[in-house]
Amino acid sequence: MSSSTRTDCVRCGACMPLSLARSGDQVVCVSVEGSVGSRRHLSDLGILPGTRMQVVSGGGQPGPVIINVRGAKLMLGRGMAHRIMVRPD
Amino acid sequence: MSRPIVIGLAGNPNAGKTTVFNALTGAHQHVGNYPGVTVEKKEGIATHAGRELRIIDLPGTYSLTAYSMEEIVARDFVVHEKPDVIIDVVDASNLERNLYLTTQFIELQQPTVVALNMIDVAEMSGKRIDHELLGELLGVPFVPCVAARGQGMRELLDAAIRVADENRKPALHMRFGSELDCHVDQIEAMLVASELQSDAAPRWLAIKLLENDARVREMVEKQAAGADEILAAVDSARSHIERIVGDDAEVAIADQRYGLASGAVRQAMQHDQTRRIDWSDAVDRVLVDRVLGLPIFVLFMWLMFEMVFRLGGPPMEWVEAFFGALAGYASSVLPDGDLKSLIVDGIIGGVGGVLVFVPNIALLFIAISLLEDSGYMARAAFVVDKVMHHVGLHGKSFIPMLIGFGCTVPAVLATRTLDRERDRIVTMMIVSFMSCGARLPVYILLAGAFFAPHVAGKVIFSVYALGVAVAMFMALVFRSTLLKGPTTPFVMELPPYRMPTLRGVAIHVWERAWHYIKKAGTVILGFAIAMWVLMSYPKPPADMLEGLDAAHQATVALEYSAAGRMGKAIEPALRPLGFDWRIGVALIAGFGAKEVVISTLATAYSMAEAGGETENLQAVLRRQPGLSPLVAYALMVFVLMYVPCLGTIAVIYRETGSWRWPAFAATYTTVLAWIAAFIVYNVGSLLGYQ
Repeated sequence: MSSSTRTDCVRCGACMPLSLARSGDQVVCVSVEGSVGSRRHLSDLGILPGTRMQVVSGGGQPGPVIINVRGAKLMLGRGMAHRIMVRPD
Repeated sequence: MSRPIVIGLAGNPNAGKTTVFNALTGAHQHVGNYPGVTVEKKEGIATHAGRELRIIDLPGTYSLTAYSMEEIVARDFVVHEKPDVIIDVVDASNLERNLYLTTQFIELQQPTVVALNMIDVAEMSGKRIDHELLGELLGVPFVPCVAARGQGMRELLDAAIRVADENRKPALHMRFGSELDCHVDQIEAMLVASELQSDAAPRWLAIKLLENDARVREMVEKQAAGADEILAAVDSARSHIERIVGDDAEVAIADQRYGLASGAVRQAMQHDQTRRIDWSDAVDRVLVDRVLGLPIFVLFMWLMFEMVFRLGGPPMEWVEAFFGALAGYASSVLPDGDLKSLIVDGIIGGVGGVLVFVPNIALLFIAISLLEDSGYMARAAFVVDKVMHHVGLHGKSFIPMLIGFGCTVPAVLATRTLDRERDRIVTMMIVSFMSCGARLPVYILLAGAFFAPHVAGKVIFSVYALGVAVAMFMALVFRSTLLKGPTTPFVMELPPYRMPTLRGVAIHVWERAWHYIKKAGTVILGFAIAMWVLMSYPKPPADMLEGLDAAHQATVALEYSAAGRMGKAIEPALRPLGFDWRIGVALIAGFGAKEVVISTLATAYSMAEAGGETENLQAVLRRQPGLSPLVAYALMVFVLMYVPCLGTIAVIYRETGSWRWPAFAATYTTVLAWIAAFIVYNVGSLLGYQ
């Protein structure tokens, strides 16, 4: 079970939205904002608090982001990437 | 054992489920609908080791929650229909994520076999998977296979039949950690005590209740004795879990499932890091690069269209020659009269005029299939999203739009990948502007007849480009007016790069091309005959034809016929576009299927030419005084944009569930077509073009 939680995030200070991570960064998901539906959708695809991810490209720039997660590649739109809070791994 | 074994085929989208289905059932398939919903139901038959198998291809899902129609359908089938065995198709190159669904089948405690598909791709990327160990860890048999090459299918069916015969349930019982397990046990006990009648096991229902599954909750509310206490216990359990774990119960449960999946993968899979596909990341970085991505995409699209038109040329000529010879033979053998006209002009002319383009269509579908199977399509969607975002379109809309270049009907169906209704509807409304394969014959005919060879290609390209531009423009208009709202958040899997297999491409292309040929044989044949009838009857009285030569007689006869009168009736509306009544007749015919525009033109003009000569239609058109390059271009623009074919209207109705949208699509596209053709013709005339 992940040690970082939504409440931790507020205190942690190293958290940022995935959309701000840079290409090549290794990050860990802290929390996922948004509606129940989109959170569920992301968790079905493997993104949960505690999930390790690597930013492949699009990091820091406006537009979609490609990440490696659980051995697969996902492409996330800017809206989604804004809502995934991460910290450096 | 004479009853067929019922097999449910499940798995993630893109895991190769349909490939497995095709490999197992071959041509013995039947597609229908699940009652009451727009989700497709595919069933097929197979025989193996003397046993008859009934295989149902369930919708691809990532999970068995109640959030999408696909998941509900898949889940309901497994729970209520209780297939004898479930085959869970898992993508070996994406193992951890795929096993998330597998853990849920384990929760269901129904006989299951896992097809570990695409092991060739996994091996190529340096992953070595011990499938037997996986089977031990997860309690279900794992059968490695490469469905695209037909490998492993026999072993898969052997395992499935064995598991079905033994009614062998998964040897693993899902555990969720002490906190969660405690609550699952508690709710399970309450459900058992209430003696609730349900197809599903109480333990599974308990898990779903803790996950706040809406459908299970509703069912319990309505049918369980003491429902209030049970639900109160569930709610209190959920808050307890949230306090302890720090997150929603469903996240906690998902986390446990992934924990099991990743643990199993860690033990059973060796990943040779030195052979890791870092080249894939590097390639991706280039293909989706901010600067290079779009030009690379345009290059691929250009290559695709070049291939379709250049390579398609010679085969087209062969088919044309064949039908020309056929028409000539029929002409010489049959006695003069209506029957001969029906067969030569109506049937051979009509259907032949359309089948000529099968090589082109096939090449287009081959190109699309190559792009899809290799994995480039997903990267293209990424690149295209940046542009589409500006007109309010979702990057995923790109795939239906690309399919629309082949045929609009599957393109409308492809909008299902979009989650938000609004995005789906906008895409459905503009996808017909991606000029489909049926309209292509019209362009080729007209451009070939009225423009020099090296110009004709560019003319056709300009029509396609216009279609894309109009689509983007209309998307912007719709998103600013009728269909406002935020766009669906964009999440898309990027499949690993694969070498498209000959077999895989052949299957895709054959499906779609066969569909086109079948359409020619049935719908278009029907329309061709119908149009012939409308164009031949009523016949003018003999005195009207006196003193006229053959060509004039034919024209008068056509004017007198039912179709001719319809054309004449709308002629005033078409005059400002430079069209005459004969074009009007062809356009009316095009309401049914766009291919019929050509066959109607062929019939109308070959009949007007009379004498039974089978001349090249393009030469015939060139000779008509009312037609010129400018009129031809205006006509191409009109055909590009006006009403989607009947098949598209029907499928839009089915997908949106109301007549509003198909009616709107039919009307606004025709109005737009008229305006565009008007502009082209009149501005062109003013500029001095002929």
